[in-house]
Formats: sequence, C-alpha cells, structure tokens
Amino acid sequence: MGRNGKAALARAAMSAVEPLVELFLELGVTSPEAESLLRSVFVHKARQWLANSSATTADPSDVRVSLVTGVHRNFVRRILAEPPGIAAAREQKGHPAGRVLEAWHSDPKYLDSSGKPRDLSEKDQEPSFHTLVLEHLPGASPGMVLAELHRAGLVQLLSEHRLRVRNRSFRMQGINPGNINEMGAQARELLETLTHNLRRPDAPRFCDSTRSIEIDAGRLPIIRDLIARRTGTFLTAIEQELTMLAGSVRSRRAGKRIRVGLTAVETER
Amino acid sequence: MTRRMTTRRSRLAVTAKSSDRIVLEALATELLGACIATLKTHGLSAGKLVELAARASAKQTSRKSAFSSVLAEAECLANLLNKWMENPKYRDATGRPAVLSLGKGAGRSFTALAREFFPAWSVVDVLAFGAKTRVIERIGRDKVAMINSTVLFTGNAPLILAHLVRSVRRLLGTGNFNRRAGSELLEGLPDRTSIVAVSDEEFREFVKFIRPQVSDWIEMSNRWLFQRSQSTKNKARNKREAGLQIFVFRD
Repeated sequence: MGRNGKAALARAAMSAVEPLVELFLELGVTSPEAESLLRSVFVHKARQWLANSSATTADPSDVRVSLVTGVHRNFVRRILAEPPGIAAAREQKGHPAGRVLEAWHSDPKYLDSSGKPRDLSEKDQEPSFHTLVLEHLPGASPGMVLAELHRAGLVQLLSEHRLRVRNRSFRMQGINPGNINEMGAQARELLETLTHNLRRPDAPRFCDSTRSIEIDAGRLPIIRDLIARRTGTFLTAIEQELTMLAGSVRSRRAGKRIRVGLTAVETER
Repeated sequence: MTRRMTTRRSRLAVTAKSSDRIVLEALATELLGACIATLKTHGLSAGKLVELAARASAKQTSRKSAFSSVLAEAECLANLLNKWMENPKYRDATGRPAVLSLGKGAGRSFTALAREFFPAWSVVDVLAFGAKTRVIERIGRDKVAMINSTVLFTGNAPLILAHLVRSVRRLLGTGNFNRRAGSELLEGLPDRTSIVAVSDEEFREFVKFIRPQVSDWIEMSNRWLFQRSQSTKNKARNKREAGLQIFVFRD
C-alpha cells in the first residue's frame, strides 16, 4: 500500500475510532491504556489471522506474529500469554488524577487527626485542593482536575467552595461496562458464599448482618456517612491483616491457593 | 511435733508477707521513679520534687485537682465539638458537622455554640483557641468549619502534663477497680495491651495503620455515651464520668 493509500486508511480508521475514543474518555480509560489494549488485540488478531491463512495446523510462531505486527517478539510472547486486555504495567499507572486522590488519602498535610482525608477549601484556605494538585500533579490545571474528578463522581462539591473526596482510586462512577462487570462479580461472590453455606453448614463462610433499624429518612445522610467511614476503616484494617497473614503463610508452605475477601454492603428498605 | 509445724507455718507466712512487702516497695519505687523522671523533663528539680512529694503525701488530694482547672478550657471545647458533631441540628446534608456562620442571630451558629460552652469568653477568643488546638478553621470572614473532632494538645507542655496526670489517675482507678473485682472474667473493666518489638520504620507504619481504628473506637464510645447521657430517663440519676482512653506507646 502506498503512502497515499495509508493516509486514506488512517483517515477512515480515525472516523471509525473517534466514537470509541469518546467512550474511553467517558469511562476514564487513558491513552496509554487504550494503546496497550489496541496492541494486545492487534497481536491476538494477527496470530488468529496467520493461523487461518496458513496451510498447516500449527500455531504461527511468535517471530512470525512479530514480523506481521511490528511488535518485538518478547512482547508478542508476553501479550499472547494472556487474553487480550490492558497491560498491567499500563493499567497500574492509571488516570493521572489518581495521583491527586492518592495524595489526598496519604499526605499528612491533607489528613485530619484520625488519619482520614479532610475536606479542603478549593483554593482560598490552606491546605487547599489547588495546592494539592500543584504539588502532586505539576503542570495540570487545578480547575481542570477538579472538573474531571467531579465528573467522575470522585469529589463532592460542598458549600463555601469546599471539597470532599469520595474514593481513593480513579474509577468512573455510574452505569458503565467496568462497573456493571464489577456488580456481576460482587453478586456472584455473594451468591457463591450463600450457596456454599447452604451446602456446607459444617464449614460455613462468614455471612452476618446487623438487625435492620428503622430511622427517620431525614437522618439517612448521617447514617450513610457513618457506615461508609466506619466500615471503610474496618475493611482497610482487615485487608492489611489478611495481607500480612497471607505473606507469612506463603513463606512457610506452598500449596493450593484460595482468594479470600470480605465485602460489606449497606441495605435500605 | 504439732508445735514445730505451727511455728514453721507462721515462719512461712512471715516470709511470704515480707516478700510481698519487698515486691510492693520495689513496684512503688518504680512507679514513683517513672513519674519523677517525666516531671524532671518538665523542668522540676529533684529537690523540688521531694518537697512536692512530701506535700502530696501529707494531705488528701481532692478529685477537683490542678489538672481539672488546666484542662477546663479544653473540656469546654471538647463539649462544644461534641454538640457540633452529635446534634442533628448542627450537621449538613451529607451528615457531617456543618460549616457554621459567625452571625449573632438565634439558631444554628458557631456564635451560639461559643456562648453556650464559653459564656465568659468572646467569640473571637473561642475561635483563636479552636484554631490553636487545630479543631476549627475560618472560612472567609464569617464562617467556620470543624476540621478535627479531637482537641489536640501536641506541642503544648502544660496541657500535655495535665492530660498525663488525668490519664495516670484514670489508669490507677481502673487498676484499683480490677484489684477489688471478683475472679469472674467479666467483672473487671477491660484493660488490654498488645506489645511486640518492632523497628522504627515498622512502628511508623503501625501508627499509620492503627490511627483511624483508634479514632473510630473513640468516636463510637463517645457517641454511645453521649446519646445515652442525653436520654431523659437518665438525666436525673447520679452520674460519674466514664469513658475509653486509647494510646499507642513505645518503651
């Protein structure tokens, strides 16, 4: 294909990809994550394409896939070892605004005396959100970062230009494929535990609830805030304790590994 | 024979008593030593401490002691924060303590809280005290927000010492109660310790890990006690202060 042909193809591909990019932006998928995803799909598809067009039944070699895709064979091997997806290294970097959220939860300047993130003034009073962004995401406009975090539902705008952080990591709130996927996973985990307990009452997994308490609907924000703060602290603590326990057990004996977790859910009726 | 056994028994009893006495005196010396060592760091000389110890030993110390007056202002501030946190009227739509106005009108305002808990103070002085103890901050010219629910004494030597004296008194009180309690497991007051040798870095991590838990326990305890003390059926009863105190230590 000549240079003109490639340019025309690029224009056509751009038109096709633009709506997808818009969707990525809405879902908080960064450019490095999208590039990693595209590369992964490209490599997997190339292998399938080569296999279909080959006269033999043998899988095409990594070197051949590398030649066709222009991706180094070491990366090809790594990419093909897993289903198509965003590379962990890219995913860990996450959304740049995530650095602001992390600092808000860990930099002592932005914590209250209980070690939890404090409400911040937008910019008039120190410590402010403005300073937080300048310190932890230099080069970014605090106003733009705030707009982005608010759009993602991660920062709550309070009266008097004060801000409250709602989550430690950058994830778009609302109905989107990622959150629907997680909802499915959580529902599956709960059902698996309940089913297990029905089948194996002799070795139950923990599943317990408080008694439902009737409250004035006007006090709901207080109750939700209380449950969120108290349970959040508890879950963080139990996660650290389990991690330490898992680490110490791993060093002593290797064997079958099981993933263990704890989910807390508020109910309202 | 019988006489010889009786003599031996009484000798054993005397030995046990004198041994108990030796242990008691050694522990008393250690307790006094720990107190003296801390007081010396506050600038009191050995001679002055001997004089003060003699004075303290000669008279009965009252419950209404020096620490009460030093901590009185801090307690007023703690009570003000308690009302701001616990009274639904003082919460915002999200359930947290609301940003309050400094207006003089009736109803919900910081001025109203300041007048209730610091009747002899000006609002400006209450604001300055709250800012110094890092519990509140001014928002613009006419509003104020709660930034911490705990009155912090860090860096203030007299308040820390007064707090320490009160803590020691409470600890001794719990110890005395448990000394007299029966042998049943649940008769004593809870007094638990966790202790393991760790490095400086691990200790710092531990403090970071445990700080939110400690705050939550204190908040839960405070809420339980505050709500119960406000119930009308308990108002008339004879009351004594009770609570929970948690601290991290390193030997």
